[in-house]
Amino acid sequence: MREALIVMRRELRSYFCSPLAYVFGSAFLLLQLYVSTVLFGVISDGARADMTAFFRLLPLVYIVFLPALSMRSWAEERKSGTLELLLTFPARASSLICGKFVATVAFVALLLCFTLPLPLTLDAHADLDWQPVIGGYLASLLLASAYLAVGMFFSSMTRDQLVAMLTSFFTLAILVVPATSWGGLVLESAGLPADAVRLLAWISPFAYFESISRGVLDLGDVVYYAAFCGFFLYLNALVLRARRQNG
Amino acid sequence: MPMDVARTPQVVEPDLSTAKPPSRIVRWLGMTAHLGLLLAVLVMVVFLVLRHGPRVDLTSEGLYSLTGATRQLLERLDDRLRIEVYLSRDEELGANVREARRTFRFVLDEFAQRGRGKVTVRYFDPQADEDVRQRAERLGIKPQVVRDLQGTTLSQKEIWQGVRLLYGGTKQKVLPYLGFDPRTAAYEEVLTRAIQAVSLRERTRVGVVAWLSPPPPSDQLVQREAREGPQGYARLFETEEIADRYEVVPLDLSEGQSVPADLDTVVLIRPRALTDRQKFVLDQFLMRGGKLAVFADTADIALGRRRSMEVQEASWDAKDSTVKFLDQLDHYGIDVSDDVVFDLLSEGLPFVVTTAAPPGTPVPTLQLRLEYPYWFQPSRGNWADQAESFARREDGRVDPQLAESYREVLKPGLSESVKDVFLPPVMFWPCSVELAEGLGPDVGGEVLMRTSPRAARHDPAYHRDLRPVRLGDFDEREYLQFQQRTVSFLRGERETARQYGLMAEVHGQLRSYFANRPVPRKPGDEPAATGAGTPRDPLAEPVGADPLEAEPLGPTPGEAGAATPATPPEPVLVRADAKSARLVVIGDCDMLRDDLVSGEYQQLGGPVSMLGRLFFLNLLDWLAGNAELMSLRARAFVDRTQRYVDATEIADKPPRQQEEARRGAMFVVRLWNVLLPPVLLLCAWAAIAAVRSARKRLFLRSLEDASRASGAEG
Repeated sequence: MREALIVMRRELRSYFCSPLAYVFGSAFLLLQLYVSTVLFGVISDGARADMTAFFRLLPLVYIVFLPALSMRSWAEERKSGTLELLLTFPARASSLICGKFVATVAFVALLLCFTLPLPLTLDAHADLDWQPVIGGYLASLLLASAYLAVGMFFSSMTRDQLVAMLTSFFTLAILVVPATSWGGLVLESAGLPADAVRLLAWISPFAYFESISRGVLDLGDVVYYAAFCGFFLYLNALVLRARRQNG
Repeated sequence: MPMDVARTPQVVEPDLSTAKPPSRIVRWLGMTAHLGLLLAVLVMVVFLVLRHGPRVDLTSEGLYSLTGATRQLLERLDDRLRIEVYLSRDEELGANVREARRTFRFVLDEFAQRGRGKVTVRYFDPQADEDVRQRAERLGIKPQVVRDLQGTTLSQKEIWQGVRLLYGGTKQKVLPYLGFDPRTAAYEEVLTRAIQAVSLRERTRVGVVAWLSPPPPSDQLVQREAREGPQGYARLFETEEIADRYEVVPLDLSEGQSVPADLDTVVLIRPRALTDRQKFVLDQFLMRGGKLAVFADTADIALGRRRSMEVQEASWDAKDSTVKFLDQLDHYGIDVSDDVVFDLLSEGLPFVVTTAAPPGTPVPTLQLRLEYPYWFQPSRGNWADQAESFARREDGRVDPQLAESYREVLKPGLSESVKDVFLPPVMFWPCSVELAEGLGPDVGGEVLMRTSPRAARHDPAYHRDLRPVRLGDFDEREYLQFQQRTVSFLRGERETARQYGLMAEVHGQLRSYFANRPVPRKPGDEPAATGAGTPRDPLAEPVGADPLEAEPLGPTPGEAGAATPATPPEPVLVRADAKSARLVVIGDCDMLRDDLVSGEYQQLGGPVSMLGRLFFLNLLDWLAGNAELMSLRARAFVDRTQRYVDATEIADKPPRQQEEARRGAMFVVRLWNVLLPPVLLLCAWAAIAAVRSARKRLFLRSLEDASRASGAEG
């Protein structure tokens, strides 16, 4: 536990000191807020005060930005040679992974906090129902955790950050797109078997995001995200353990 | 030879240095099996929790959970209810409706759980079994045909989602196709209503008397167009939800007969030319504890096919009547005014016109949504919360004393006692309905629905034509003139925010209006010359079981002096007894008209009666005391409309300027919301960078100082 906290603090410090994180964060906020408030009309006179469109957009925006956030988690350490040093410390692989994972999730949570002016604005001009909004933020955090777990796994597999980012991006796209209303149709019309599309849709993190983002907290959805993150973090731990043994 | 003594077996340790490590393939296989098993366990756990785990509805309206009303209904079932669900496989559905299917299954599971063994749900797939399909078709359950693209082949797919409810093995109700809606409330309402209909022992009888609306004027532009007939209310009574629970009994009061004894509830829609006898019959109905709802409307607006609106004279009372119906209502405690009310602040239906687009526009025509304050929907919110905005003076400052008085005086658009019962309908040219002063000692009442504080009223004759623009091409000046005429009523009241009642009710021991008046006779009943063979009034000898106790009034035959000719007994009058009656008056009847309910003007852009039917159904439930579905219907609609511009500030501006004002306000708000967060983030980065840089400088300086000090010592 103590080792995990130390690693977490170190990671957070590196995020806050890195200009890249701020640039990515600003770009993420700009894109998400512009598209949701202007193009999707979350802020619109006469419309119902509802954050559903904002949360519906997040899974797709996450696919673009979160692999970029997670790509450096292990790949950079490998490239700079600090991974071997880290692995020689008397700390379990699980502590190292937990520390990095929690730090990245915490940074995403901070970015989500910067979107709070939007529901506050809606509440100032209408009677906003806050409970589904809280549910939506919770769902966004769970979804981000799932994406980051995938990104960290691929980052541990390579020393090249770009390769890590691209593999995470394509993996998440394959997982998420079939679960969207248009994605399934596009894939089936492209020749992918319908059963395969349905299977991908069933295991997709996006499919379990919808109900929480609307305001229905289903224990099954939370368990899904815990299982999804746990599985990829476990794979991550296996990779690190193999490196330690080989190393 | 002696047996060998048993020796301790020696353990031979394997020589690990020479043991071959497992091959890479074996290791990979082991790892794969390990991961596969882990994955299988996780999938199982997730599947089980999804299927049986709890769900928490975070919405304040409870859009995704069953209401207490439904739970009570299921617990009260006294026979078995079987729900047969005919569904296509979930895998056949598109991703966008799978969530709705999950909600549907969840609702059905909840119904089965709450039914405590009396409710069973069985699923059938018509596509998997031909017998099931045929049975479903015989029941009237139909699939919806959707297009399905598989590769390059476009085919049609059937989606089944129908339900059959079988109660006690004898009564059934079929819902041929239920659409897809992710809200629990949508499925709950349909299923609960169906369960109520199928488990009902007998329908409640409701008497209705409806006067037809006036025939429309012939529209000037189309000379050939024949005058159509007057509009009735038949569409209202064809509503399945009403027919399932209520037996609507058309009443004919033209002969002056009393209301049948087995009717507890009577609805009058647009009462006109009431004779004294009819008023007496209604009075006696109230005296025996009846519940009377009156959809009153002072102004008769004849609506033409092209939406011409002609204000016609209307009369509550027959020409030869001696008593006025409005006075009668006032006597009971409800004051109906002879006016037309409009509201500038409540949510309104626009008057949509199509006009030629300006040159250079890619489309040939434009649709303009003109503010039309005579069609409005009362708000469910509390206007007292906005007391400060109404107390704002011309210079923008708030008058605190005025604000304080408004906080006490202003009321919600919908009274607290019926907020969970009614969804306020859109009202069309309503009249004001208030409580009369001085209700009787055993009489209670309240105003149930009100306008916003930016409303006014005028004599119906003020506008000969209530159409905002004339027929033909749109003329903005004409619309501005209409606005000026309308808003000028409000200007005088700008200093005072005032609300007008639109619906009121009284209940309790109402006093008869005819207690000190001569009792009207039936048409054709003349006093006979002698007392012999005098026909008696049927009220004294009611048809069927009439529970009223009759007490004769007036002179009985033989009591008068010999010179006075014998007259038949006066019609009997039932005084107010211990039975508690209820009278509710709604200031609009146009919301129930066939042409508005069926949406005949929808192609032209309105008006369409939104929620009129639902309001009528809720009213019947409320009067009959059937509370189960009232809160169910009312709960889904909470006003969460965003408002960035004060509607009263732009009320008297042309439509284009109003639109520009709205867009301007939204632009500013959107700009703040889009730019502020990233700018704040970058500022945070700049601040952190500055702090780090300062620390670094301090550290380097301290290093320099330390090296200088050590150099000096050396």
